[in-house]
Amino acid sequence: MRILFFATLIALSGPTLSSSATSAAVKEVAQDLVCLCGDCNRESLATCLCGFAASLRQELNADLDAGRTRQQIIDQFVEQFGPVVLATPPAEGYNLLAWIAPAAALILGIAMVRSVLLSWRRSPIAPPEIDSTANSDEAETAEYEDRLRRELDRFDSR
Amino acid sequence: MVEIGYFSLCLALVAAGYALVASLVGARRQHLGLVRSGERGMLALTGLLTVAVAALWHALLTHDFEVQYVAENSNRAMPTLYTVAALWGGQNGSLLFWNWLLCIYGAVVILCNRHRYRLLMPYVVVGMAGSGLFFTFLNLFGADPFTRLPFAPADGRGLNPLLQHPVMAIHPPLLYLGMVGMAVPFSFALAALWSRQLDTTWLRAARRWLLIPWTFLGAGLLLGGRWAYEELGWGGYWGWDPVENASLMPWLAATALLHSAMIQERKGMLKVWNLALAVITYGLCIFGTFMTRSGIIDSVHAFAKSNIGPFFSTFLVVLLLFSFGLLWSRRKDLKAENRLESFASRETAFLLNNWILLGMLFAVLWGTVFPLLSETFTGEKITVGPPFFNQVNIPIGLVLLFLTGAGPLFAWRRTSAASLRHNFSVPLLAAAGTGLGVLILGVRDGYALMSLSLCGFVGGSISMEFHRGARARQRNAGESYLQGLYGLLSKNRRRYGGYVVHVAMIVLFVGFTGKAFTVEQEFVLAPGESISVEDYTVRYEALAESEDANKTVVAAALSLFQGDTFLGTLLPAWHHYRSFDQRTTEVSVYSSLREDFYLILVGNSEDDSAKFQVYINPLVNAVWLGGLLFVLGSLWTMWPTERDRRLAALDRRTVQGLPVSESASL
Repeated sequence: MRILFFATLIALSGPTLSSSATSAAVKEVAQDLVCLCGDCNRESLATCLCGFAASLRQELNADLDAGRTRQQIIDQFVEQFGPVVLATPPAEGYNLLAWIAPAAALILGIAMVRSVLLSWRRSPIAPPEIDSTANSDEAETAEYEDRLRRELDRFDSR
Repeated sequence: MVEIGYFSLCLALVAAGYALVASLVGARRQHLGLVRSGERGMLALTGLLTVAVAALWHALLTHDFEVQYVAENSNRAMPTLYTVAALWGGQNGSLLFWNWLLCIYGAVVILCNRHRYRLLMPYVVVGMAGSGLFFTFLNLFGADPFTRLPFAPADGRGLNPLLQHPVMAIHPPLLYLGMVGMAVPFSFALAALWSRQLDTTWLRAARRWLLIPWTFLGAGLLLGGRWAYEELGWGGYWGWDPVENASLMPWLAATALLHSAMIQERKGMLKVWNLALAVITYGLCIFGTFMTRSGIIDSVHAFAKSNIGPFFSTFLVVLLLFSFGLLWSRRKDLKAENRLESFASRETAFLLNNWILLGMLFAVLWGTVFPLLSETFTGEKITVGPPFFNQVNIPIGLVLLFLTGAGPLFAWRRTSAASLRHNFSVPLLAAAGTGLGVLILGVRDGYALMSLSLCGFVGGSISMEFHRGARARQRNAGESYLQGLYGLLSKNRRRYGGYVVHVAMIVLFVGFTGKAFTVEQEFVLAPGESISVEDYTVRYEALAESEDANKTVVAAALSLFQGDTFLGTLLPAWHHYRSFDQRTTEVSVYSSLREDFYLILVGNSEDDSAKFQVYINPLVNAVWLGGLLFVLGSLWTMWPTERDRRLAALDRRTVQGLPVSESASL
C-alpha cells in the first residue's frame, strides 16, 4: 500500500507542480472532505499534502470550472467514496445522534445539577453559624493559620 | 542483560502479587507487620522493574538486534537521544516504561506516607500493586519487550521518522507521567471506600498526587501540540485526533475533580461524586490507552498497535465494576453534611464548572467513539473530523471560559444581590472594553469576539481578586501593595496559584482564538521568483539535496522580508527515510510574538521549481506561553509551604489514624 502510494506520489509530483496553486474556492469545498488515500489518516482534503489529495483537488477545481455547485461536487464525492469522505457525519438519520447526544448530555447534566442543588437546599442539616461577610474567607484562613502556627511552635519547643 | 530483564519481569509479577495480597490481608487483619511487608513488596516491584527497564535500555544502546523490540525500533544510524527515546517509541517498550513509572509513583507515595494516613495506605498499596500486577502480566504475556528473533539482523529498522524529533524525547514521558499518575488519586479513592474512612482525609492525602499528574498531563498535551505543529506540517497544533482526545479526557476529568474537591473539603458535600471522578479519571486513562493501542480507532499518532485490546478492556471492566460496586455499597455513609444556603453561591458555581467540564468530556468522548458505534450499528463507515469537534466544543469552551471568570465572583454560602452587582461590574466593564477594542482593531468573527471579550472578563475578575486581597493585606498587615500581592501568592498558594493557572487559561484561549485569523496560501515558485503574502515577501533562492545514513533531505532556501526589512532565511524541507520509505515534511517557521510565518515545502520538480504552502498563524505563540504559565502556576500551587513541611514533621511523630495497639507497636 505504502509503495503504491509513493509510486502515485512520484507520478503526480510533476503534474501537480506545473499546475497553479489551489484556489480559495477549491479549499472552501475541500475543507468539508477528507483525504482517503489510506496513509494520511483522513487529513482534511483542503490541507493534505499527499499526491492523492492534490489530484482530487485538481478534479475539484475542474468541476468548479465546469460550473458545478458545491453540493453537486460533495454528492459526487459521497457517491464515489461513501459518507466516510465527509469531514463531519451528515446530520441525518442515525448520524443525527452524533450531533444530538452532546447537547442532550448538557441538558441532562444541567437537570442533574438542578436536582442536586434542590436536594442540598432541602437538607435537614443546618449550616454552622458563622458570620459570612465578604472577607470571612480571608479572616478565617488567617485566624486558622495563626492558631496553627502557635500550636506548632509550642509543639516544636517541647 | 536481556535474560536478566526478562527474569526481573517474572519476579516483578510475584512481587506485585505479593504486595497486593499482603497489604490486603494486613489491612483486613490490622496486622502491621504484613502491611509493612506489603509496602516493601511494592518497593521491590519498583526495583525489579527498574532492572528490566535498564536491561532494555542496555539492549537498545548496545544495538542488540537479536531482541525484536530493539530491531524494530532502533538502528545504528540513529542519534543516541533517539535510541534512548526508543524505549517508549514502540508498543512493548512503552508499556514497560508505563509500568515502571506507575510503580515509581507507588514507591514515592509509600515513602512519603510511612507514618501518615495509616488506615488508607495499605489499600492505596493494593490499588497501585493491582495496576502494577496488570501491567506486569501484560508485559509478560501480551507485550513482551524481550522477545528474541531467531537470528540477529545486521541493523534495525529504526524509530518511526515522525518520532525522530527532540520534543518526542520528552513528550511521551510527560504524558505517561500524567496518565499513570492518575492511579494514585484513584488508589486513594479506592482506599477511602475500602477502609470506610470516608471523610475528607483521602482528598487531602491525594490532592497533591492529583495536581502532579494533572500538571504533567497538561504539559504533555501542549508539548504534543508543539510536536504536531512542527512535525506534521499542517499548520496546526491540535487536530482532535483520537490519541490527543485520549489524553485530553482524563485531564478534563481531573480538572473537574480539582474543583469539586474544594466543595467537599469546605462543606462536606459531593462525596460520592468526588470518589466517582477519581475512578473515572483513571478509567479514562486506561480507556484511552486501550482505544489507541488496540487499533480499534484510526489515529495519526498511534504508533504502537497490537492485539493487547482484550487485556485492557478486561482490566477496565474489572476496575470500573469493582470501584463502582464498592461505591454503591458505601453510599449510605456518603451523605452530604451540609445544607445549601443560597443558589447564588460558590457551591453552585463549582457545580456548574463540573457540569461544563464533564459536558466537554462527553462531547470529546462521543465524537471519538462515534465512528465505531456508527459502523457497529449501521455498518457504514463515517468520519468525525475536527470540524465536528470544533463546532461542538467551541460553544462549550466559551461557557467554560465565562464560568472561569464568574465562579470566583460568588462567595461561599451566599452572595447578596448587591455584592453580585458590585463584583460583576469590573469584569463586565473589562469584557466590554476588550470586545470594543478588538472590534475597532477589525475583528469581525463572532466566536473570536466572544472569546476575546470573555478573556477580558476573566482577566477583570482575577485582577479584582488580586487587588482586593492585596488591599486587605495592606490594611490588616500594614504591608505595601506589592508586598501584599506577594503575600497573597505565597500565603495562600492554593487559591492564588489557582488564579495564576486561570490566567494561563486566558492566555491559552487567546492563542486558540488566533486560529480564527489564520491566513493560508499555496504557491509555486521558480528559483529567483518572489511572492507577497499579507505584508510579507518571500523570495525563493535555491534548492539543495543531501543524504545521510538515515535519509535523503531536499531543502529549499527562501529569503523572508517584511516590507524592505530582511527577516531571515527560511529552510523548509522534506526528508525521505529509507528504512521506512516514509516522507516527512520539515516546516520552517519565522516566529514573532504577533504571529508565525509557517512555511512548508510541498514538492519540487526537476527544473527546481517548487510548490510551497504558507500559514500565517496569529497569536499562536500565546499557546506555548500559556502552557508555560500553566506549568509555573501549578508548580506554585503544589509547592510545599512551611506549614506543609511542619505538618509532615508532626505526622512523622504522631502516628495518625492508627488503632492504639498498632501505634504502640511502632
